[in-house]
Amino acid sequence: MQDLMKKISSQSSQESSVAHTSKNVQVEVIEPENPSRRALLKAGLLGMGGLVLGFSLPSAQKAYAKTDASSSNSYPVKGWLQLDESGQLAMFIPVSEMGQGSQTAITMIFADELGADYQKVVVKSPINDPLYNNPMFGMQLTGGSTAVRAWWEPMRVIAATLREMLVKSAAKQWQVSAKECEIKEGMILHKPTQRQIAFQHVIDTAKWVQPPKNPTLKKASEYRYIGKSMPRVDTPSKVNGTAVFGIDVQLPDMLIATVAQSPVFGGQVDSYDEQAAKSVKGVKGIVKIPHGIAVVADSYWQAKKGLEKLKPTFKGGDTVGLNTDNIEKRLHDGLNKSGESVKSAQAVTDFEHKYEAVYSAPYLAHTTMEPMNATAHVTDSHCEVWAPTQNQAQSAKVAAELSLHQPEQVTIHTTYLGGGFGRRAFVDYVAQAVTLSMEMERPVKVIWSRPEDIQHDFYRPAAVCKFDVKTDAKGLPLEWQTKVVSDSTMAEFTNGSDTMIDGAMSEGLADQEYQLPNVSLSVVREDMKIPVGFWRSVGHSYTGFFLEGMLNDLAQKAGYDPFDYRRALLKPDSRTAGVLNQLEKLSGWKSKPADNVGRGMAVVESFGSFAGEVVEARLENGQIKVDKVYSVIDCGMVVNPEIVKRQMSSGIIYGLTAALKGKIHFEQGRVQETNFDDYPALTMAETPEIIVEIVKSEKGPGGYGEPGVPPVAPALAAAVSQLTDKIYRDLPLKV
Amino acid sequence: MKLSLVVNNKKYSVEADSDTPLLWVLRDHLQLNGTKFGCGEGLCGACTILLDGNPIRSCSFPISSLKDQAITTIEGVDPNHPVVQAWTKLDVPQCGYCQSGQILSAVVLLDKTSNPTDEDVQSAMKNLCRCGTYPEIKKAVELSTELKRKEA
Repeated sequence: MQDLMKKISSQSSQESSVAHTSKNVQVEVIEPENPSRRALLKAGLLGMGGLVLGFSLPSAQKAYAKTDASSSNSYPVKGWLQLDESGQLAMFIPVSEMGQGSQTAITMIFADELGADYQKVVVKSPINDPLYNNPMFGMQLTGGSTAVRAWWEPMRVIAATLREMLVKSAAKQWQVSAKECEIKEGMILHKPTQRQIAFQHVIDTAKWVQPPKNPTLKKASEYRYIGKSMPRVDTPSKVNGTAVFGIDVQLPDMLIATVAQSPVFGGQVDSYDEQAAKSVKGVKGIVKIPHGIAVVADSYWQAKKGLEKLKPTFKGGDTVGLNTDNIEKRLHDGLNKSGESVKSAQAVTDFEHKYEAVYSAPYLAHTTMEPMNATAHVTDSHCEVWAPTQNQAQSAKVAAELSLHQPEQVTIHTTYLGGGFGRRAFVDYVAQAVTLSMEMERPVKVIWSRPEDIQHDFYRPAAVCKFDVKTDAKGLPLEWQTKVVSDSTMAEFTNGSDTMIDGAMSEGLADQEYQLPNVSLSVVREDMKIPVGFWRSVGHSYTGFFLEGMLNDLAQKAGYDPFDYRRALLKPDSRTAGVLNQLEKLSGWKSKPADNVGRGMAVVESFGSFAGEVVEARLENGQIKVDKVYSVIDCGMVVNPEIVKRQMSSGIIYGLTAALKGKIHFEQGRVQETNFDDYPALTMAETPEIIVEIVKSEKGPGGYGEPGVPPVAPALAAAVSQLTDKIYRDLPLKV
Repeated sequence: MKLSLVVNNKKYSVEADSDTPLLWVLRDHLQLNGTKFGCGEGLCGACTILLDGNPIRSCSFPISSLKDQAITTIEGVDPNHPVVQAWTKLDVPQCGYCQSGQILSAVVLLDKTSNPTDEDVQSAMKNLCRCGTYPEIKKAVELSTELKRKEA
């Protein structure tokens, strides 16, 4: 996925991606821009005045700091640190916060390296700017469980650079050597004399300090926050209702819109009753948008009533005639195609057993709790957007294209996201808001209804996978053939061709740590014209189920314990083996469970981490009841252990919803599900007890927002198999 | 219709269509944005508020059905309420979008049950959370019960 992202970014207008190293620090003057401050105040997204200190990595010559305390129109700023007159320190944290806790983790890294007091720091989401490009993607995008992985080193380099600039500035003022100074708890300290000075008293001169080329990073023993379960920075506003999500943005003179998009994907509006809609009080406009139509009104309810009266009908589309049965037949028929070979091997002729099995996974929607929405204000000179988005880069690109503005005239403000899960890497809602604001010549917030959200998602693509495995007399593999049939999420994301094959379609199938001999893998693309996208853990969300399911099948056939079977395929010092050993202990695997309890396990490497899970389940009135999930993750060094544990638990619950309930159905090219009654989510009563352990490691940080998802479905399938003596190869699980 | 309503002990007067759900009056007319829109059909609980201390799904409650009840939204919950304290102490929210509704459901549970059993908690806390904060919500309800007992 990362290689493809880099490919996209080089195609886009963003700055090219260059490795961030401490040897290469660029500093440039960044001028503040000048949008409507009043509007920002209303949105609750106002930046402080004050001094902004920033520079971009890599390579660079001149330092910049911008004093704008006296200026009232100083937002948005581009930088890393901002101080106001009172010394309040604000940090710009370059990731979207969608629940995964990355804003907290990166604030911890930043504050620790800088020497700032974590508890006193104000955290802000920056606007769109290449300065904040995700170092792993080369574009401003939060996804792929990359936040800590991508920013771990650059953020420390940035903070260390700022720290040394501030220290030098203080030393100069005191006329002492900078070597005698350090930053402690937000104050600069001259050690020999114990003199202290606050950042705001030196920042004005700090801007003239040449940024160090090789700032010294702190040693792990000097960390005060990293490695500890510091409280989340977003908790206070999320328990008192003041956190601003996209849907909460309020601007003066703003209208609210809601949309109806063609239920057949790619269809067009055919007819509608404009008069009837306009007769609804408060309705201000009817606007055609690509593949749909919007009603714009003074309030959401009026817009919704207007849409009901508008009664739009649609014609045509790309998915006419598609239904779940013919989609599934096409996927299974795809197994007969040769596809694109990713890995190939000689056929083994000397073997004892031969097994084949076909697995499948359905289309899935994301159902973030906050339905899709965005707000835009387009004027002659500016296009300003407030959006709960994972993808500032694409938001800015789309906004510039639609508003016919230059990139520098576009500002994207990122609000909190009421869930992302990959859905908000796509920016269709941003495009709508921009179009509607242009049409209405006023600020417009567009809000989708829940049915619109479920029926116009970028779905996790359905997939079918066939394994042909030859084994020796003990049941251990001698040859391992895999063919997977699915659609390409990256083709959707990059406007790639109908035949494009991407790595995510088969990620995890032939690149785990298992030492499988004679592996061949081929990938068949079936483009159903259904919009597909990144769904928490992307390709691993189904390949984990397929591969781990097959391993569980084979272990059982060979009379192996599933842990032992995997260990037979792993190097003993591999990280996967480490996770297995810890998980076996944690789950008490060696002691027999109660008679009515089924147990299953799985382990998957994804997003730079290794996660294993054991599921304990029972049948209750013929339904699957999950009692317990034990989980072990090796995600390298950990910034905030509690956040890692919560993300594992979150991924397990997200994966259980899908494994037990998740399937999007199609009829006549339309999605059938409409809301949480026919596309349900796991409830508290259905949630198992979840126990998470983190492997102690000093390796580089891995992801943890997604790796909890892939192992849970195959582990659950194996657990249910023990109860029913059937093998489950299709999701969702039906007993 | 012209409507006077009391929200968080404050009197408001608004002009809105009688079929407007209370949720949208709170959000679009009063700018009390802590109450969230999730499904529009009373299925998810993101819009949970209290009418005279009883939880309702405000997305499906037209203002014409209001009978002078006192309305409590997340903005009206005492920051020192044991539920808020527990939610904060345990860092419950992830994305946070459903949490206003979760907190109000927990406030009612605590008001009505001094020592809730697991079943009480499960039947009171039916709000959906896609981040899966349920285990922490459960712990926070337990902690808030404890805090309340200490307060008493």
